[in-house]
Amino acid sequence: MFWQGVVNGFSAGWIYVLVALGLTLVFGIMRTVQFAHGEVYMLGAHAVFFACVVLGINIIGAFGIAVVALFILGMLMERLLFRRFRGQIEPSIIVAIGLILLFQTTAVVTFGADEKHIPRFIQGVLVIGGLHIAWDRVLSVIVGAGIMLALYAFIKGTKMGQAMIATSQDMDAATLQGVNVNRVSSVSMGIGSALAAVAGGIMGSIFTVEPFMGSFAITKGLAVIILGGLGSIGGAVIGGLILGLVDGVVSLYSSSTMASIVGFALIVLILIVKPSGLMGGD
Amino acid sequence: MVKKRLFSPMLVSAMGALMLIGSVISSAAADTVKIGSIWGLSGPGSQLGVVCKDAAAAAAEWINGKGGITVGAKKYTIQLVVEDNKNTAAGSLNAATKLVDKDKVKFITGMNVPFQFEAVQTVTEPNKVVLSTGKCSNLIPKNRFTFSATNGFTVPMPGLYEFMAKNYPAVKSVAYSAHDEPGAQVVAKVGRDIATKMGFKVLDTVVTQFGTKEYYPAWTKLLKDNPDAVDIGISFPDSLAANVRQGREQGFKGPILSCGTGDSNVFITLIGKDYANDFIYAGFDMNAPDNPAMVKEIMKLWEAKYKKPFNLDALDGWSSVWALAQAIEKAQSLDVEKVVSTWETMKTIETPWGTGTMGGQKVFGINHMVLCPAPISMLRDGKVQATHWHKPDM
Repeated sequence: MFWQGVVNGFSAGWIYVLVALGLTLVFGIMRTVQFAHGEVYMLGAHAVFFACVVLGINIIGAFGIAVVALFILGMLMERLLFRRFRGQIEPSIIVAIGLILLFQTTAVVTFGADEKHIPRFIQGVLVIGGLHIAWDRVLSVIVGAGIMLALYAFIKGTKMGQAMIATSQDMDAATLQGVNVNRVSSVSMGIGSALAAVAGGIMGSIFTVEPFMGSFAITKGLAVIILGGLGSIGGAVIGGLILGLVDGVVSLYSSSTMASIVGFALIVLILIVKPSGLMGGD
Repeated sequence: MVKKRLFSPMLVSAMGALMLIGSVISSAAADTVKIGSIWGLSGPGSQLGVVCKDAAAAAAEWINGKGGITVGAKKYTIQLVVEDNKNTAAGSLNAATKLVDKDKVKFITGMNVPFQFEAVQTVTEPNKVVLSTGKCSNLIPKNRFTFSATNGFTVPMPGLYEFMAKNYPAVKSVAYSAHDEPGAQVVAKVGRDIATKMGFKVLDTVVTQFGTKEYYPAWTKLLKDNPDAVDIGISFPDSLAANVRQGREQGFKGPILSCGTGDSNVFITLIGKDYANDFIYAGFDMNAPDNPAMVKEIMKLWEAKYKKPFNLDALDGWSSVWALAQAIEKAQSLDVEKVVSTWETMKTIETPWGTGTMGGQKVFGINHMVLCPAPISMLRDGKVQATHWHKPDM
C-alpha cells in the first residue's frame, strides 16, 4: 500500500509541477503573482477540447493550437493589462481578479458549464510489481519532466533566456544593459500561459474540463511555488513533488483532508526556517 | 336638444358596457403562482444544476400549456423564480432568503444535493414554505414542509444489492467509499446496513473530499482489504465516473455499486468503454424502447425546446415542479398547510416513471417522499443494460 501511495503521489506531484512552472516563471520575471493563471490553465484545457473534439483535429495538433493561442493571449495580457501596473501589487491583483471573472464567464457562455472530456493520449495501465499507474499519468510525468528540461535549456542557453535571468535579477540594470524588458515580460507571460495550456490539456484528459477547474490549479500552483521558492524552476519541481508525495502517502493513513492540512503545515514550517522557500533566491 | 339628451344616456351605457367587458376579461385571465427554483448553476456540479433548472422550466411550461394549476374556479400560471445557489450551502441559504423575504414565495423547488437543501430548510421550515426537492434521503418529522419529489438516493439501494447478490454469487465482502458530506455519509450507512442484513462482510469506509476527482489514494486504501465489491455511494456524475475509472485503473475488477443516477451516456464517455464494466447503478438507458411513456414525452419536449441532447438528471428537475403542482391541485388550495396535509396523504401521484405514491413513513417517520419504481442498470462492455425496476417499500 505504501509504495502504491508513493507512485500515486509522484504522478500527482508532476501534475502540480506542470501547473506551477508557468506561475513561477511569470513571478520570476515580472515579480507579479498572476492570480488568473488558473483560468488561463482552464482556457487552455477548453482550447484543447475545442480543437480536438469539436474541430476533429488530432490530439497533438490540438495541443499545438492551444499552446500557440494561449501564448498569444499571455502576451496580450501582459501588454495591455499587467505592464501598466508593473511593480504595483494592488492594481495587479485587481486586474487578475477581473480576468478570473471574465475568463470563467466567457468559458461558461462559449463552451457551456457541462463537464467535458479530452480523449486520452494513451489508454491502459502500467503494472510493475503489483503497482498500478495509468499510462496517461505516466505521460504527465514524462511531459512534465520534458518541459522542465526544455525550459531550463531555454533559459540557460538562449539570448532571450539570458535576458530573462537578467530581468529577474534587476530590471533596471537589465534595461541599462540594453535588454528590452517589455519584450522579455511579454514573452515570459506568453510562455507561462502556454505552459498552463499544456497542464490544462493534460488534466482535462485525465479528469474533466469545466469552467471552474482553475481553482485547483491556482491553489496548488501557489502552494508549490511558495514552498519551492517564488521564481525558481527547480523549486517548483521540488515543491510539486513534495506536495504530491504528501497527498499520495498521508491520505493512505489518514484522509485526503488531513493530507492537505499536512501539506500546508509543511509549507509553514519550511517558511519559518527558510522564508524564501526551499530554493528561493535561486 | 334632443341629440344632447340622447347622447348622455348612450355614453353612460357604453362606458358601463366597457367596464363589464373589462371585468369579464380580467377574471378569465389566469392568476399567477410564484414558485422559487433553486439550482446550482455555477461552481462544481453546475452541469447537473443547469440540466435540472432547464427541466423545471420545461415542466412549468408544460403545465401552463395545459391550463396551469386549477384551484376552484381559478387557473394559476406557474411563474418560476430562478436562483443560483453556486452549489454551496451559503449560496443555497442566500437564494432561499431572497426568495422568501423579497419575492414572498410560499413554494420552492430545487436541489438534489443534501447539504444544499439542508441549508435551504433553515429558511423554509421556520417560514412555513413548502420545499419540493429533487431527492431527499434524510427526511425527518420535524421538517414538516419538506418533500422529496422523487425517490431518495437510498430508495433503490436494496435493488442494487439484490441484483449483485443474484448475479455475482462470488461476492462475499463489500467496501465503501463516501464523500465527507452528510448525505453521502447517510447513503454509506444505509449501504452498510443493507449489506449486513444480506449477510455480506462489511469492510472499511474510506472517506473522500466532496468535489474531488482524485480517487487513487482512496482506491489504494480500499484495495488493501481485497474487497469483492465496492459501493461508491453518491456524487456528481463526473465524480462517480472518475471514481469507477480510477478503481479499474488501480486493478479492481469486481462489481462497483452506486445509487447515483447519472446519465448512462455521460458515464460511458467519462469512464471510458474499456472500463465501463460491472458498474451497477440506479439509472436507465434513456433510448430503451420500453421506457415509460412520460419519459419519452419529456425527452421530446426537451429536444424541441432546448435543441440539445437529453440528460436523465433532468427528470429530477421536472419532478420537483410536477409533483408540487399535483399536490396544489389536489389540495384545491394555495394555503401551505392544506397543501402539506394533502400531499402527504396522496395515494397516487404521477411521476415520469409511472404512477407513484407517497411514502417514507416506515423509514423516516413522515410520509413525504414520492415513491415510484426505481430503475437499476448496469454498464457492461461499454454499454448500458437495463436490469430491473425496484419497487420500493417504505
